[in-house]
Amino acid sequence: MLVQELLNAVLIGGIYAAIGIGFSLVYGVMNLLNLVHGAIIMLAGYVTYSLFARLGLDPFLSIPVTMGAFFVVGYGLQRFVINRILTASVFMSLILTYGIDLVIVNIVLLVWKTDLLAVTPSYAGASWAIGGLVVSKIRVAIFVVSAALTALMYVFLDGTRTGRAIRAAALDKEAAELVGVDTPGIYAVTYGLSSALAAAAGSMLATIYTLTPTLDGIYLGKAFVVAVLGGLGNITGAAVGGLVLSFAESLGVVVLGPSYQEIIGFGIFLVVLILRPYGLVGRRFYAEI
Amino acid sequence: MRFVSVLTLAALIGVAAAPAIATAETRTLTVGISISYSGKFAKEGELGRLGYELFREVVNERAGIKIGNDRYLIEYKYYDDKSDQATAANLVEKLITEDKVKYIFGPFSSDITFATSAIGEKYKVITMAALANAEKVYTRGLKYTFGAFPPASEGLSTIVQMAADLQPKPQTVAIVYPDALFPFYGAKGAKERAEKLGMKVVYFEKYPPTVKDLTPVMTQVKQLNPDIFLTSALLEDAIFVTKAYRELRINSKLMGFTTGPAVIDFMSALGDTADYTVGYAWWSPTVRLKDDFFGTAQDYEARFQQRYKQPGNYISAAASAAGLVLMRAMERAGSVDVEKVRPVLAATDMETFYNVIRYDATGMNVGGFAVLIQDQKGKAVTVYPPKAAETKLLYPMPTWDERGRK
Repeated sequence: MLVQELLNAVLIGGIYAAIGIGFSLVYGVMNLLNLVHGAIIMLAGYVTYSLFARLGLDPFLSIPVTMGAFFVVGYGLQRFVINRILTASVFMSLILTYGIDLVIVNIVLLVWKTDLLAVTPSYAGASWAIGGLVVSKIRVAIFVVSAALTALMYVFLDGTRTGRAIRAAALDKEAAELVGVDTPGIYAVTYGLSSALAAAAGSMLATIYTLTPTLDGIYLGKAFVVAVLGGLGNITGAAVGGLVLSFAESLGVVVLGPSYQEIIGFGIFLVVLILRPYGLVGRRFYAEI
Repeated sequence: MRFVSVLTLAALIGVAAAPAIATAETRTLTVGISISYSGKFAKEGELGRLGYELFREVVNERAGIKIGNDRYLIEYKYYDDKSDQATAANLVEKLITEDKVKYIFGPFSSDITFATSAIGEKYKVITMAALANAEKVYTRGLKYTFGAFPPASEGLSTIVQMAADLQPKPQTVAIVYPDALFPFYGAKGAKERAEKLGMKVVYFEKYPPTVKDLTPVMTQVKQLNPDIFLTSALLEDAIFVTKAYRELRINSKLMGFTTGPAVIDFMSALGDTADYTVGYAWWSPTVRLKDDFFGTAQDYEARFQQRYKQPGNYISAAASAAGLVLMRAMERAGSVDVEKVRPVLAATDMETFYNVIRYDATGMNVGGFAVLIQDQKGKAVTVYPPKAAETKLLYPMPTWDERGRK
């Protein structure tokens, strides 16, 4: 049964990674604690619900749709709103992003009301039985898509001109500008990408979680822990952070009982913050910019 | 605006009635309601409001409550407690000190009522805590707080009670619950009842209320393979539990919940995965109960459906019934004075369309009973007790293999 718990942990880790990657990216590039992140995941979930309930669109097929739409939303948000306060104090950015979070939550309340909604494609809840183990099909699919998106992001940041410009802007804004990088534009692209990743997570999570207008805070909390565990700003770090958190929580249940599952997760979070503030995978240099 | 227009209406009625009954006056009784419009209890708060509203509408369309020679129309003053205990306490204090209300209709959840009822006590204002039934709310020596739901511990334990007479008789029970007031009492009540009836409680664990993924906990349940699996939680968790129950292909003979199977959202969120689950309600339109205000349970249901275009539910019904109980106490006391109404209210022992309401010394409704509801082919049907049952319980639950579900 321990094997089952470990298997669950791997699959939940994939979910956590999907939640954390975009958050980590935005922090790494522009030092912005993006409190909107959880709300975008939640909103994308609701959009996925409507696409599913109204048009019968499969939640996994709606991923490109929500990713595209939220890239545009994110791009615009950064370009026309958040860019204006990036050089102001950290409190301004916290207040602004918290405000946008509240706006999104209220949009959700207005449009979708407070009903608990769920996206239930025919394969929801289905699982493979292998030996004594059961493996949820949907969770495997989420894990695969999350891993693929993480790999794509890695390739994009490493291998494309825009990707390298993003990394340059992250390392040194002024130097990047000196060599011709349009940092406001790059920031907007980064935020757009982060929103698109959040939207992908939202579309997928809508199939296993139940949609409520309070999910934003829960997603944001997980994103924060995952990103810090892996090292803020580190894409592969977010994947590692997701796995570490889910293993900590699952083992917490086995070893100490269900009541302690979050204590262990947050305990590890604190230890990492104290001993390795640049994250388990992060390099010291990244954390210092 | 609405307040003003009701006042105007009240004044007009007053003027019109004046020549006929020289001494009678139509007044307005303002009741304060701090309840959840947002936050985690937004849904339950909305259902509560529908119930309170329906009570007000019926009272006002019958020209108000006759108390002594006067008639009182009812008006509400609402605030959103955001599902937060501290906010709720502040709002109730504001209702009492600024809005000067003498009567409060309670919020949803025992945790929030725990805070607001203490404020009501401090100012000697009556709280109809219609939507809170954790014992801890009442066992603090409160004098001005009166419930409507039967005790929290009665609900889940009614499922255990029914199970004791089933064939094959279930032997083992697993119970999980989030670490909060109401779920704890439900879980505790079920555990005690199971042990009393000779069943073995093999798992009794709480999990943090903020946890969204219950797969790790459910994996432990699967390992123990209990005959009865009970979850004492609110709706959102009930859905998570059921999803994990299916994903992990757990096969119990009976699966029971505090909140869930009786609520439409549960079935729409889960589809046929919800089939065979059992929940309880403090009310069902099928119960054979009635009063002389709302009529029978079916009458209430009909009116509710006509007004809100959705089926009735026990939360709204309890809210309406709390209003009715308070109204009858005021009529009997012949006064709206809190100190005159309180002892009369405390002596309440009446049948309503909703349930029997009889208060013990703590103000908790100990007269009521729970009805058990099972989801059968996408429909919630009442299966217990016999005086409310529409059909028979499907037992034992078929396994996932038998249900042909991969």
